[in-house]
Amino acid sequence: MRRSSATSPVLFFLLAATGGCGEGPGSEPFTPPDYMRFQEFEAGRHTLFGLPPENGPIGEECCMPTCTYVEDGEIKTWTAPQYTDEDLQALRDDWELAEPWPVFEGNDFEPPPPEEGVNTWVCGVLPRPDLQGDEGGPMPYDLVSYETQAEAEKAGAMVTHGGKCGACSSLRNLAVYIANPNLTEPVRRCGLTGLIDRDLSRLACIASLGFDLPCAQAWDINTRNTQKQCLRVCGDPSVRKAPGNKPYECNPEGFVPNDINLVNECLACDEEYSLRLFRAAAGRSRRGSGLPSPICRTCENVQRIVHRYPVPGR
Amino acid sequence: MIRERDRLGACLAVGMLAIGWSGSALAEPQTREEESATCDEKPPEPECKRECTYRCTCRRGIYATDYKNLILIIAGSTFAGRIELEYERALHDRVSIFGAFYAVAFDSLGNDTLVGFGGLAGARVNLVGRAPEGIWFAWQVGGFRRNARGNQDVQLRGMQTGGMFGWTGVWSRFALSLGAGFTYSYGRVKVLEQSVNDSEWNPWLRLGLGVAF
Repeated sequence: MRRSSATSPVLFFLLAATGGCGEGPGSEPFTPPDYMRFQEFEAGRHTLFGLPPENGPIGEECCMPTCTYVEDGEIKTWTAPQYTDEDLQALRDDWELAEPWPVFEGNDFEPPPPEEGVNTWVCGVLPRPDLQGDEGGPMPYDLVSYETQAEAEKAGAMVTHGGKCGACSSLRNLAVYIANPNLTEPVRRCGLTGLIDRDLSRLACIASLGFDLPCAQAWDINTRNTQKQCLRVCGDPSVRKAPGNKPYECNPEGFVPNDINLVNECLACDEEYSLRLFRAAAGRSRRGSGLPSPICRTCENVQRIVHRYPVPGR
Repeated sequence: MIRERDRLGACLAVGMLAIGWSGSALAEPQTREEESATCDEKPPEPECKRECTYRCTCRRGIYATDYKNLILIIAGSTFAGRIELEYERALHDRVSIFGAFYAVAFDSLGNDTLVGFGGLAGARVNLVGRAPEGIWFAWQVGGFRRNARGNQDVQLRGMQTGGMFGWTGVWSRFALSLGAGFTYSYGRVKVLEQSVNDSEWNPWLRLGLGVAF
């Protein structure tokens, strides 16, 4: 990878004067999230999935990186793995998308109409050793959408997220998701930067978080749509500064939590107007990838996936 | 000459305060007559720094500065880490041209990932007052370039054009410029090996502070 090339002497002076020569987020060492604080709590039927901020509106006893589920008549629990820097490096270095995901042309993206019935689709990483050169290097792979997990496994693919594949399904983008547990905040700031700078910097700013271009476009599509649909709600400073989640008790009486009534008004608006658009464009969502975020969600849409992909033949 | 101009500026300011001027001077042309009467220290014609072609007098007053040049810091965009300097020169009582250079060196919003620079040039046509003061309409074109600061290879290059209505005032040597308009940006974003054309319309607000000379 190349470093940025700011060659202008004036720019150099300004950088020096403002002390702005730090590294971007892509180069910061990854610190795995702290799971210790959840150890004393046990997940229950109404426990939410996430990594709530300390002293936030939802306590660790009600939101943790663990979900309960029923399998073969038994109640089981699943905890999202804690990934290390080596895991992230393996996602970036060991695998290479055989055919880059195409960029979105034009400013408008029309999502396909919602499908009937239960969405059982998964996106699989299908290794392509036949495309690998003799000199080794990263393993080429295809991203293939399968109707069920069983189909993916039968085809020799490793499931990387629930739902059909999209612009953010690649393992390189997955590494960005894992390295940034809270992507909503930096992407929102990129949206504001673009609005103030007026020079298309929003898309470049999102890409600079580490995404490839099609995935940055998917986030940009989401940001633009949310700015358009939710400007009034999200423009209110009191809403914008509010915690992501509303207060929540683990044993709700008469309250059926869903992903919209758990979050603040701005996020609820984003969820209502942009989620379908984003999922169609990006494919990969945090919940669909089994990755906890600081915003607690129900376990309903969380996929239980471990993101360690052994390279065939190694 | 300069000292005299400052003295006259101060005199004019006192005059404006005395008559309760609050931005409605345009609708009250007699105000300027009153100022001229109060500040009856107008320099003789030959001392005028600038040849008057529009009003045919050299009296100082609202929207009739002697100065032909402005240097402004566009403070509004500094909020987003953009340091922008603009130079404007009046060519005529009604027309001025300007050029600006900006660098994006930091980001107060906390993104801190993109650096870059850009330049723009344009012309202002005064609707009220004598350039570079008064109420104006401006049109500009420019280009910009941005790069990611981190390891990710991101490049952005593009062009921009836009129009704006605004107002510039000069007191003594201090200049304030405000405006609002729209810009259209068109460019190419390149990330790793992929690139795409992008375009967008954006609102454009202006707050400039500087000096006249």
